[in-house]
Amino acid sequence: MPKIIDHSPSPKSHIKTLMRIGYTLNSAVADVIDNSIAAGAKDIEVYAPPGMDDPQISIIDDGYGMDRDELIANMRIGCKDPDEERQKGDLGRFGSGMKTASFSQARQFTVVTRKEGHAIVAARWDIDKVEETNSWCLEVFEDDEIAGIEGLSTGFAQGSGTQIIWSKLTCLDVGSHAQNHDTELAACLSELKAYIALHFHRFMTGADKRVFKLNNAIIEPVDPFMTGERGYQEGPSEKMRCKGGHIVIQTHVLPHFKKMDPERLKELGGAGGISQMQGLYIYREKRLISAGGWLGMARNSQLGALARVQVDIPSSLDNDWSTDVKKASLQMPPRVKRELRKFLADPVRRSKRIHSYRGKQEVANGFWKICEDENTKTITYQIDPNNDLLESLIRKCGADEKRLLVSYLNQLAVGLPINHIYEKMSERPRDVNQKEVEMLQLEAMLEKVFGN
Amino acid sequence: MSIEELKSCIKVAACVCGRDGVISEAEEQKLFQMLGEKFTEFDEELFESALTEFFDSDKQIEDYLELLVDEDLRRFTLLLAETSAGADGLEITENIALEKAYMNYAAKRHA
Repeated sequence: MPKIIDHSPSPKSHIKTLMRIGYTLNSAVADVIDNSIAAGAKDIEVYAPPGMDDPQISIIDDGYGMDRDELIANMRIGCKDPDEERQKGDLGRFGSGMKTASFSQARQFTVVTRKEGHAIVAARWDIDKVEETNSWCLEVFEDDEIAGIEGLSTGFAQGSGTQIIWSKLTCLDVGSHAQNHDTELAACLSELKAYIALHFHRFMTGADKRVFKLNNAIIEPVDPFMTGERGYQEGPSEKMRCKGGHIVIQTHVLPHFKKMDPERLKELGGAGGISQMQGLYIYREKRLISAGGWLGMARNSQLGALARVQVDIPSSLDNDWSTDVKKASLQMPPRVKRELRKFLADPVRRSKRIHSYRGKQEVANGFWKICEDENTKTITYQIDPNNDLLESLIRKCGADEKRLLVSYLNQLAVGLPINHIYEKMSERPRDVNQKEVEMLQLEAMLEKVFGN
Repeated sequence: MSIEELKSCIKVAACVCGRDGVISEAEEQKLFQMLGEKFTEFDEELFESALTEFFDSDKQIEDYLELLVDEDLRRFTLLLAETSAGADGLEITENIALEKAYMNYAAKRHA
């Protein structure tokens, strides 16, 4: 029988692996926020004060908090069995999120926490110390040491809650010569705010809503389906029963860009962002984990830009959906894919209809003729010869002028800047306004040629 | 008929419909409708409890099939499974499970 020997990984090397698990700042903060929600927090704040030589990022909540034993147990990496069934609403998975998310962004992270009726307790992982000692040396603070923790929130005087403090940040490119910490931090926080507003938007409304803040400012939810906007269309839905609950599919079609509130349009990245973000929105226990894209079931298209399919899954399906540690990727079971395919056609068709309707409205003008040739599969935009103004102008022209005018109109149609129009209509459709065409230059030129 | 037998009947149909881990809304509605029309003792609570037990259990279709001994109930169970699974189109995997159920009872399909 082979001899069994203890062959645990070297802490010094293993921690380097954990630091590179692939989190972004946004997904790392989101993972910590998942824990806050699971801990029943009603008030969750990300706090990153500017002007610090060694910047810190804190995530502070008013959840249940932990006592000393619970804190020490939770500081262990992989403290929960992923196969263990999670409570409904629990956003955790592997019991590694808080640690791996923190290691990916900072070389030191401190957890300060208080459970109702218990004393405030604190513990810290410091990668420098783990590397120095090549051991999993968790620092547990004595009561009288806690007040001295840099960045400690003053909110612990009453009630329960938890604060995670990330120090010695690796997520900021502090070595860069172009920017200082504050500029870098501000850029990161701006992206983080948008990420939280979108990925946790369903926790920010309704009876059980939580307050999310970033540096004392409340984060307003961003609804990717624009359900409250004029012109929004709700499509068919389906509810499939599964282990631990239901998978709910709901289709949505956004209003046309022209009908959107400019602020909402900006929040969703403008027309370009809306087009790129078409597709499936997968929520795990109400938390958005996959925003946009068709997961290989359909192709992105300009006409399908307004189509969205919302899929809600319970955490009990984590194994079937192969959710990863970051909860940022998943694989859909074949049956769900099959069911979903039935629903994809509807919102895409309606999105196309909205664009086509507006297209048809624009065809109905007496100056341009749109020729679609089914045989050659070509579309050309030509000057409409059956225009009263044009006809009366041509009647007044001599033979040479007629030839010149026709040649000019032909060149005008050939030179239509189609690619530019397409690009601008995709990126900034609200800014394209042909009603504001300036005639001044043309009038000035006529005056110069013909005088008064 | 006992509650346990009725639950087993539901679970056999659930095994066929939920072959891939999910039961569609159309399948669930058909199950509920047929069971309500057939059994006076059937109600929503019993339906919910049977489906929750089904999803929480590792038992196979054969385990549920052998709990049903009454011929009429067996015939109805096969009909229930076939009709509900077919409510949104009978998938290949569902059809295999259904075949298995018919073979287990040595019954002829569409008899």
